Amino acid sequence: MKKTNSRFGLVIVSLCLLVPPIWAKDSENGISSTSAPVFEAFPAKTLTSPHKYASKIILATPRSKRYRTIISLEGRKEPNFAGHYRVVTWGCGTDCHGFAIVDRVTGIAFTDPSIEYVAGAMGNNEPRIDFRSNSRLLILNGLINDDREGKFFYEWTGKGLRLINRAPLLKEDLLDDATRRN
Amino acid sequence: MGDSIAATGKLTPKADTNGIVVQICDPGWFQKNATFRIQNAPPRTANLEFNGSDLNFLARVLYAESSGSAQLKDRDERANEKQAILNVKHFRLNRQGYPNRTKAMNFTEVCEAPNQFESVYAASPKFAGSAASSHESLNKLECRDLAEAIEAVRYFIDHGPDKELVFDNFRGGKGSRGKVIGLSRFWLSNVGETLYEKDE
Repeated sequence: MKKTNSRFGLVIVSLCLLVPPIWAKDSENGISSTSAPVFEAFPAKTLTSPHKYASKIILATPRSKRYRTIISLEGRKEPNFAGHYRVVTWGCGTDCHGFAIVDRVTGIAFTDPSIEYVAGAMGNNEPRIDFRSNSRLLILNGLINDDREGKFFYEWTGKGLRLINRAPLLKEDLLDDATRRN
Repeated sequence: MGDSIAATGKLTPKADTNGIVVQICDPGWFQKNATFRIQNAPPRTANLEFNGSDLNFLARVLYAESSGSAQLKDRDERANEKQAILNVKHFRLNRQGYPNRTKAMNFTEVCEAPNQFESVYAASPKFAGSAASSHESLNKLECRDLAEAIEAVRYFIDHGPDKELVFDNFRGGKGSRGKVIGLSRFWLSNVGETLYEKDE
């Protein structure tokens, strides 16, 4: 029994050493988290160049229709997300950011029905909408709809955003002792 | 404010070298090297000086962030909304928290603070269109909107912040939070309220 247990333990330890962790240290913006997804873990396929992109933008959701001007203008630019997608952002006030994801191949503009915008939190200056051209991971840092606060990790599936993790938002304490209320 | 916000955005005819008349937008910019102080300012901002370039930048951001005449038909409502936005930006002068410990000492720094005004750091088409290299080709309505923004900044500098408009945030669009002015909602955050009580 003892031999079996020790062999089993050795196998487990070996596997942990050999298999790279999916949740690795995220040193983006100087913030570390031992459970945060990283962009490299969600690679996106890039199209072979040159590639013909859609000339027409298809506004498939009510919110994309509302922001048709900016989406139509910016959505025609080069992909900047997950291979062949373009994230288009717009402002909605102080530290307030709406966004759409445009498929540059089909021209379809997607907006998430549960995310009207992401707002910032005082004491945190991470990018509110963080993404990479070669990754399917999209991170929202702030308050979604001025309501739920955090660091939200989404995987772009090609059809929608899938929430895969959530972490607390790191904020500087801006009120020193002299200004705190008792 | 009413009639003091003049629709001064002029389209000036100018002939190019081929003899074709084109209309160019002259919205009434501040002189770049002139200096200004905010009248009736609180101690926090009373000693701050701003040059014309800084106020022109402020006006461009205000033009991009506020409701234009196509969205908001009433000129007084547009003017009131602009004053509320300017009060938000004034609130952020020489204060920590927007969004971090760095204090903005002029309006350009307020507007260029990380993440705060999408029109600036994402160079929205509207903001980009008011730049020195492109504002002359704005159409009549856009030129007038830009002129109104410049005039609103001028009014703010001449009169100072409004004690009825103590806000540090605003949002466009519908929602339950904040006081509605024009097509935007304004409020003072909890941290902002604490900072206000400390400073003013």
